[in-house]
Amino acid sequence: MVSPRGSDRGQAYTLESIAGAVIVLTAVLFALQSIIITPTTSSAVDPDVRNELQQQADDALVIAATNATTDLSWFVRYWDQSRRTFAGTQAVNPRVGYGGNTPPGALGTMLNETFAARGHTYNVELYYRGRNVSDGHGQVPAVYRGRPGEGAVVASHTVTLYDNQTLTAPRASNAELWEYSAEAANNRDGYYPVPDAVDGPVYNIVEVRITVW
Amino acid sequence: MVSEDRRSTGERGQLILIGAITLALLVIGIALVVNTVLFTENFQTETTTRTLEESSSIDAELQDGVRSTTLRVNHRARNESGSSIETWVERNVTRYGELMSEAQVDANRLTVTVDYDDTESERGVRIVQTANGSYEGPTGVSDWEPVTSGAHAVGWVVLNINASSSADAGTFFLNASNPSAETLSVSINKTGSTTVNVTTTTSVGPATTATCDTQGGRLLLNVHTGRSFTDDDCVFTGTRAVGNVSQIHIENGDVLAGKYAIVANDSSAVPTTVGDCASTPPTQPCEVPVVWTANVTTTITGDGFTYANDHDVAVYQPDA
Repeated sequence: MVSPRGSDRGQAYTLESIAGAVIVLTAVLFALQSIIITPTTSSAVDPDVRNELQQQADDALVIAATNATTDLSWFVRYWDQSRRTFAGTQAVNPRVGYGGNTPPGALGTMLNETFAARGHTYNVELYYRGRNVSDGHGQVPAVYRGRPGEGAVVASHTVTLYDNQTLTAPRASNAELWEYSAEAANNRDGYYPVPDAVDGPVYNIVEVRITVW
Repeated sequence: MVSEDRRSTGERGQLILIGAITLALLVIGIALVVNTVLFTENFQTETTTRTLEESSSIDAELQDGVRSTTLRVNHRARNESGSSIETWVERNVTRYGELMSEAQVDANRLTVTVDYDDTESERGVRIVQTANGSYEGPTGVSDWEPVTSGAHAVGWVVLNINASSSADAGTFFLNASNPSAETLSVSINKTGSTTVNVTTTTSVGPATTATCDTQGGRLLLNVHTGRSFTDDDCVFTGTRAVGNVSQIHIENGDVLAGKYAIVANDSSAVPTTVGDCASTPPTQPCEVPVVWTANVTTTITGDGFTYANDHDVAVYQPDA
C-alpha cells in the first residue's frame, strides 16, 4: 500500500523538477528574446530616429543629385589636382577631405542643414569602379569625421561620369576626364583618382555614400 | 485511513498545480513563437519596401544613363550607317549596364542588367556640319531649310560658332515653327571680338536678349534649351519653348561660321539636297542616322525579388 503512493509522489517530484527547469529556461529564453525585440537594445539610437535619419539621408542625396548647378556629378568632379583632394578652401587634406568643414555645393548645404545643425555627424565617401573588373572598387574620402558610432545609417546614390566631362573646380583646365591619369605618381597628365573604367563614352560610375550617426 | 486520504488529496493537488504550470508554460511558449514570427514578418516587410524603393530609384538612374550614353554615341562619329549606330549603342548600353551592376552589387547587393532592343528602338536623323564652314545650305545658298515642314519633331539644335571667322556685320537668323504655326526667331550677331548678341522673338512669349561671351574664340549655343555650354549667363528663349518644332529655316547663313548639329525624329525632315555624310565634305551639312528612342529592358535582382521594366527612353526631348 505504501509503495504505490511513494511511487506517485516520486513521479510528482520529478514532474515538479522538470516544470521548474522549464520555467527557468523559458525565463532565460524570454529575456534573450526581449533583448532582440526591445527597440533600443540593437543600437544606442531609437529605431524611429534611425528610420528618420535614413529617410533624411536618402532624401538629401536625391535632392543634391537633381540640383541644377551643383549636383552630385559636379561634386564628384570638384577635384583639385595640385592638392590631390577635393577643391575649395574648406578642403583639409587627402586623408579627411573636407574633414570638419562643410563641403561645397548642394550636397554640403543639405548635409549641414539636415544633420550637422541638429547634432548629427556624417562621413561622405566616394566609391568608384577599378579599371578592370578584377580591380574591384577604389575609395576616396570626401568628408571624414571619424569612425561611425552605434546606430549609424548609410545612404548611397550612384553618379555616372562620361569621358567628355571636365573637372568642376574653379582652376581646373578644360581637359576632359579621359585625359587625366588615375596614377598618383603621374605628374604629367594631371591626377584624378577615378579611372576610366570602360571603353566608350561612359567613364565610370561613382557611388556617393554618406554615413550618418 | 484518514491520513492516507489526506495524503492522496495532497498529491492530487500537487498534480493539478503541475498541470496548471505546464499549461501556463505552453501559453508562454506559443506567445514567444508568435512574437518571433510577427517580428520577422515586420522586419521583412520593411526591408522589402526599402529595397523596392531603391530599385525604383535605380531604374530611374538607369534610364537617365541609357539616355546620356546613347546621346553621346549618336554624336560621336559622322560616318555611320543605321545598323552601325545601332550596334554601337547596343554595345555601349550593355557596357554601361555591366558597370552599373558592379556598382550596385557593392552599394546595395543588387544585380542589374540592361538589354537594348534595336528592333523596338526608333531611329532619327542628325543634320550635321562637323568642320568649320559657313552656315549656308549644301548648294551654297544662305537662306535654306535644314528641317523641312512636315509631321516630325526636332529634339536638338546646337550651334558651335567660330566667332573669329564669322562676319563682323550682319545678322544670322534661325526661325523655328511648329504645326500650330507658333514661331520662334533667334537672331545672332557679333558685337565685339569676344561677344555675341542673341535675341529671340516668339509668338509664345516675350522677347529675350542675351550677350554671350566666347571662350577660346568659340561660342557653343544650345538653341533648343536656350543656354550656352560656354557661358552660364547666356540665357535666352530656346526652340523647345515653341514645342514640337517641325520646321527650321536659316536666313543669312553666310554671316556665321562654325559647326552645328540638328536632330529630328524622321529622315523625311531632311531636304533632298543634303547628302549622306560618307559622301559629303565635313565643311558642308550632311545627314547621319541616330537612335531617337532607345528601347531597353532593365532588370534589377535582389534577395528574393526581381524588378523588371521595359522602357522607351527618349534620347531627345522635343518638349522638355
